Amino acid sequence: MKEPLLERHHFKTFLVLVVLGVVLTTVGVNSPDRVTRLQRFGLSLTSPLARLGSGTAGLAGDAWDGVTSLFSLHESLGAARTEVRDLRVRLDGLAEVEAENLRLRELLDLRDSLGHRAVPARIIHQETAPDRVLVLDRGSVHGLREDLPVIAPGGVVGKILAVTRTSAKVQCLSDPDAGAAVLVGSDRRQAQAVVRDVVDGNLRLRHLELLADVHEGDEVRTSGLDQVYPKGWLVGTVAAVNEIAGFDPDVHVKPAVDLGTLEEVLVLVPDEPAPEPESRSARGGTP
Amino acid sequence: MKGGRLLMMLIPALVVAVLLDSFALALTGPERLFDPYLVLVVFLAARDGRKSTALLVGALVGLTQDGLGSSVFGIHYLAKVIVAYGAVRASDFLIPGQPLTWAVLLGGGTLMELVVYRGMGFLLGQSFDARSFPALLVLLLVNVVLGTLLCLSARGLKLRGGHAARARR
Repeated sequence: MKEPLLERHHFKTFLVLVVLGVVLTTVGVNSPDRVTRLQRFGLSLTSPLARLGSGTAGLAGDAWDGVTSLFSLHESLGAARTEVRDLRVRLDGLAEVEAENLRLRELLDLRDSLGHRAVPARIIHQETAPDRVLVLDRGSVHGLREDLPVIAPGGVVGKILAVTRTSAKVQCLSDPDAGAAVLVGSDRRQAQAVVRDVVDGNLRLRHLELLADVHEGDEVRTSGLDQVYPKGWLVGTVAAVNEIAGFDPDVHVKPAVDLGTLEEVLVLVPDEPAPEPESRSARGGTP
Repeated sequence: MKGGRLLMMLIPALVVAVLLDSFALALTGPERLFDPYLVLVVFLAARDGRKSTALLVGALVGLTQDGLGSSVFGIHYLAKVIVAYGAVRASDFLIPGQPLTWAVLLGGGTLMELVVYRGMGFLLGQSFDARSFPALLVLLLVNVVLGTLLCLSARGLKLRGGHAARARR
């Protein structure tokens, strides 16, 4: 089959086209405005396509920006979540500090209202069974000694059972072996009694006068007769009165102080400094 | 390939090339890092294998490029005619349709076009190609890699001419 004319003379065609190209380029360079009619025609044909292509690229760029913004937002969200978590932890810490501040303020107010010198102490250990005792972070070097009363803003806590140089053990009123002389009843007719023994978390009144007029809700306060607790401190309120024929009524007293939430206490200290245990033994006391 | 069939294939391909070129330029800025016109010229010239087809394709693609994005009408036409003729002549010595063939033709075409731009610029006292060496390197690399991928993906087109017959064998 005979080849087409252009195919047979391809090199000559190539040369002609190259010469044409050189001429076109030279004319294009020498043209004053460098824009020929052919160029305008080509531009009118291709510019709509170019506009479409660049517009699509703009959309693609916007979409890409959107995707990168999403990633950036995701990272920011993660950082914000972490920050919120940290802030919550700090907020919890601040709430704890605020609660402690409130407790200490109450304790300070209580100490200021006392006629006695009082030593604030923090509870560093609690035992609930079998005995109800607390351990304080203050000891003999802070003026503490045995049998000193321990109070809290709510009322009486107990008394000091044993002391070391920097710590003290407190026997709470709710301890089965503890006791305190109290007054119970309305203001017109108060009766002497002793709180002792514990039933279901409540204290029991013992040695109550036979003709005592005791009702639920009556306050129970220290009488001062036991020489340990000063007179007038709240011990609790009467929770139940069970009359038993021929016997003392069985009176239950709800303690004024909730030991479960207690963290700081005051130890009432006499004005004169107590002698150190070492000096007592130096004078021949029991070691 | 008959003129009518060639135009039927070339016009949509040119539309795609213009779109692709504008798209790429809008993304990368004014400096061209990919030349779809060159890929189109090399692909059609080497695929068909006829010198006349290659010359026609080179001339039409070059004129289109001149119409759109050249301040000097004719420079792209000249470059694309030379690239098309060079590609069809070089493809006589290469195995048709293979990735390395496309890579060699596209790389050679890019360099040949660069020589034409610089040579004409030197002859006419103009600067037709003021791109930096790194930009030219990127252009060469992208043309070879992306162009080879495009050529390989367009293998489904019907083959004609001497190269097509060789490829079928």
